[in-house]
Amino acid sequence: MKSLDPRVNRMSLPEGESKIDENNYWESYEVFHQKKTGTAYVHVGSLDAANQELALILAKEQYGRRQKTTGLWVVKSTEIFSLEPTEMDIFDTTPEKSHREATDYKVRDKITEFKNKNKNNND
Amino acid sequence: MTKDTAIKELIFKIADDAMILGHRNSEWTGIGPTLEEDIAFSSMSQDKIGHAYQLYKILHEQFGEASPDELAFKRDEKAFKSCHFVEIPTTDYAFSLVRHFLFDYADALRFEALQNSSFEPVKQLANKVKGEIKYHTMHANVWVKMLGQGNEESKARMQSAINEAMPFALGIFEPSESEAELVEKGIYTSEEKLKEQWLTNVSELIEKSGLQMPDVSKLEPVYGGRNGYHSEYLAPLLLEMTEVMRIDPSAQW
Repeated sequence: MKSLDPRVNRMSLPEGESKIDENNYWESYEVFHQKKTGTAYVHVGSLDAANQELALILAKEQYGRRQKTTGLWVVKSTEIFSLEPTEMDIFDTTPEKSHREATDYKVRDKITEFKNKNKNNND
Repeated sequence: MTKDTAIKELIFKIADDAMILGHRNSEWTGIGPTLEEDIAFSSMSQDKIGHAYQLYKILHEQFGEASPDELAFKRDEKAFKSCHFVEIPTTDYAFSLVRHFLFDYADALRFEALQNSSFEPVKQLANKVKGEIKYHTMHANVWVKMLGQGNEESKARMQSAINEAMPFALGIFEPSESEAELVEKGIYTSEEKLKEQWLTNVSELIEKSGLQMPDVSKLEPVYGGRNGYHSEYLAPLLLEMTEVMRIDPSAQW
């Protein structure tokens, strides 16, 4: 297909489909951005780069130029491990789990009673 | 030569280099080698145009020159003080990268010198833009090293770009009559001194990257731009750059 961009046509690129050499293909990196010292790094997106150094250099313009930046991390996408969608059922627990929720301990009533009593004594 | 003429000449050449190279490098916008590099290179071109704007503003505010827009778009070719190096047309990316590397290494030294200038407006500007220029040189470092140590093709293309660029790059440091006055008044340093430091710095990266530094003693630097004698490429560039403005020069933007 002929490009509609005259600049591309001026480059007289070879005809036909271009092939990507598997060995030379760049890798994808995930980018984490921090906007205030001490706060958490937030995942802001990904990019393609040939190595870590280039990934950081490109991430600066890609994700840092329009907002305040106090820190930037890049990590190869393949270095991120995640659960498979089929494994997500490990989060399906029994609906009745009040025994695991701190707010629902029986002792709560006793604490309230104790607090009230103290309050009355102080009055 | 009065002090003003000397400072103005200095600011014009630094501003015009930034303006013309900013325009040249922006020609890659949309067709850069990868999306991410396209964005980074375009963004650095914008930085350059920004430096030109700030310097033109100083000329306007301190010396009563025309407005930055008029200085950029309404001057004749002869009034520009850019060096031939920044005027050479964009061909392949290797050349653009090498030009970016050689030019920004020089720009880093220029602005470093301006950080110590006795002329307050340029001193303040130099302190403001030092981070941007540092990023430009970091970007250049990564690419030159990567392609210099890449495969046969990348090495060959980088080396021929370096060989082609070097005589023009030496032209950045074209000596000027007003230099002595600027040095004496603590406004700037001498071009010769900048060139020596620049040669040390660029040789270091070129050699670290497995490439060869040409023997500069055998090269004839390409001069002329600082006195308004330009390459054949500047006039067409200005024609293209001012095309939209010329449709209606009085339009308000």
